[in-house]
Amino acid sequence: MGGDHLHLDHVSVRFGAITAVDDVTLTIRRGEVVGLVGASGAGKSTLLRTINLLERPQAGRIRIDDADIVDLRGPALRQLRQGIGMVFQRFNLFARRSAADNIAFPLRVAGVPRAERQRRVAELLELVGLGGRADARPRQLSGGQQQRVGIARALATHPAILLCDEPTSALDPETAGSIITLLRDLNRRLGLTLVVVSHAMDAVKDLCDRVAVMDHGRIVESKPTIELFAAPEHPATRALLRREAGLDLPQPAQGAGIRLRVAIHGAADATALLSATARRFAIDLIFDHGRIGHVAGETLAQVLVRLPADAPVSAVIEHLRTGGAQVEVDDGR
Amino acid sequence: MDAESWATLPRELGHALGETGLMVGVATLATAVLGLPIGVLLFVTERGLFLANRPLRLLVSFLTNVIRSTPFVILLVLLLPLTQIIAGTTIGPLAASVPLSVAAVAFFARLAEAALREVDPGMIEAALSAGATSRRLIIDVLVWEALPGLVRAGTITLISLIGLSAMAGIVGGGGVGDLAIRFGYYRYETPTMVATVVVLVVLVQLIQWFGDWLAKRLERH
Repeated sequence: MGGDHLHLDHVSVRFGAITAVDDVTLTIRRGEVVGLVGASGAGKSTLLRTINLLERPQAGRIRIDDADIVDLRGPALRQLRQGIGMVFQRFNLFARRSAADNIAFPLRVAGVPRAERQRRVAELLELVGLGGRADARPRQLSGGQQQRVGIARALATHPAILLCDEPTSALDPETAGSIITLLRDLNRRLGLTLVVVSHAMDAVKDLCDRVAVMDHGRIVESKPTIELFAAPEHPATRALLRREAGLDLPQPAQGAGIRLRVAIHGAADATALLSATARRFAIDLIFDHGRIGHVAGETLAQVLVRLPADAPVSAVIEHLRTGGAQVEVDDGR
Repeated sequence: MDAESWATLPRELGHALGETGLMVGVATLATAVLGLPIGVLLFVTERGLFLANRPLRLLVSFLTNVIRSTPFVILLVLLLPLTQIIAGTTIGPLAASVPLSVAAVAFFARLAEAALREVDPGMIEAALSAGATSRRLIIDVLVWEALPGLVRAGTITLISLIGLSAMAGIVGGGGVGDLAIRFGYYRYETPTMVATVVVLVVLVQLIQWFGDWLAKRLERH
């Protein structure tokens, strides 16, 4: 981890009357993996594309390694783009070129001599686990293999920044997982700075150190991934998380008693706090709904628990909070 | 039809084929040299693309449409001054090549534009994000990826050219189509007409077959 790598300063992008990106300020450290998450149309892809100037912002500055890039044009712009890799949702491979030729493309653009190109392509194919498929055409490869070629192509010229636009959205869950693992691995081994756009929280939870949630062109919440999952603040974040966690219950709330929405993270045995609470107050905790899993390498438990009507609600809440849990009374919404 | 006509038919046909070959050959060359770049220009100057240029696109688009909407016989006459300048004469197969070339260039440019439009915009984006120059993007991505479609467009253009070249007989261009009209139609030599038509059908079939084969091969490799 180094210092600031990428700095977006009050960046706005407008398409006619539509403001796609609205006054976004974001700093990304060297080697950091940052997710840009939001509903479709939130402006996350547009924001991503300003970093290699595929979209030029109408307002704001963008600095990479303290150099302002917004006004770059011609050869200087192409030079910049050679130093930034990009991975696409639909892979965007050249259909009439082999896997090896696809990966060699940025090297040819950069004027790398033929022998050096061949050596580098072989190295990259190994890196993404496609050693034997150099001569395969994209359509002869599975979706996951195509994305691996896409990633190898993006890495060909040793970029320090990798932009990923919905890298797993076109893949089945298992393949998506292997691509996430690959990206995380590349980040650790090569020290790459990753910016990952996704419409789904699930896709970024194991990959990103930090997540910025976008809504209507603005970044509405930006914090370490585990904190975002455990304690989402903005309504847009909550909407995204609830939709995926499936923690919404039918209306009206079923059963008697007071229902609490509890999130516990960090501890390996997060739910021990709940049983300890039940013992302490000698009450039954009824679990209506919940999910226990791992986010960014930490355990996260999110549960809806029902307390008996005669339970000392405020004392229970206090006890849970002291134990490190986020608690709120669930009103069914 | 007398014995003499029968005896001269192969020679006449051979001569006519040579003239058709010359006219179509020159026009094909012009199409490759001018039609493809104009097709590329029509595509890449479109709004939102990497060389967007609305006035230029409008001008070129208008010119190709004027050429394509003018009936070829009239184009032939309208272009006589240009033919005089380029070919040095307004008579003969070489002179006929000039209007043929102009028509073919405009026709192919539009077909090429359509073929280029079939290239996945994602590939253009990938090339741009790799820092490719416009030149590399056009040659190594657009034209390379559209090659099967461009070959099909070329096949259609070539076959249309053979049809148009028949009309070039009006300025003394000669050729197989002209032979069919002059001998077969005006002189009521039905066998000559049938023979020339058969030759034309075979020629067109061969071109279509070869074009399809080449395009398929390019799609696979």
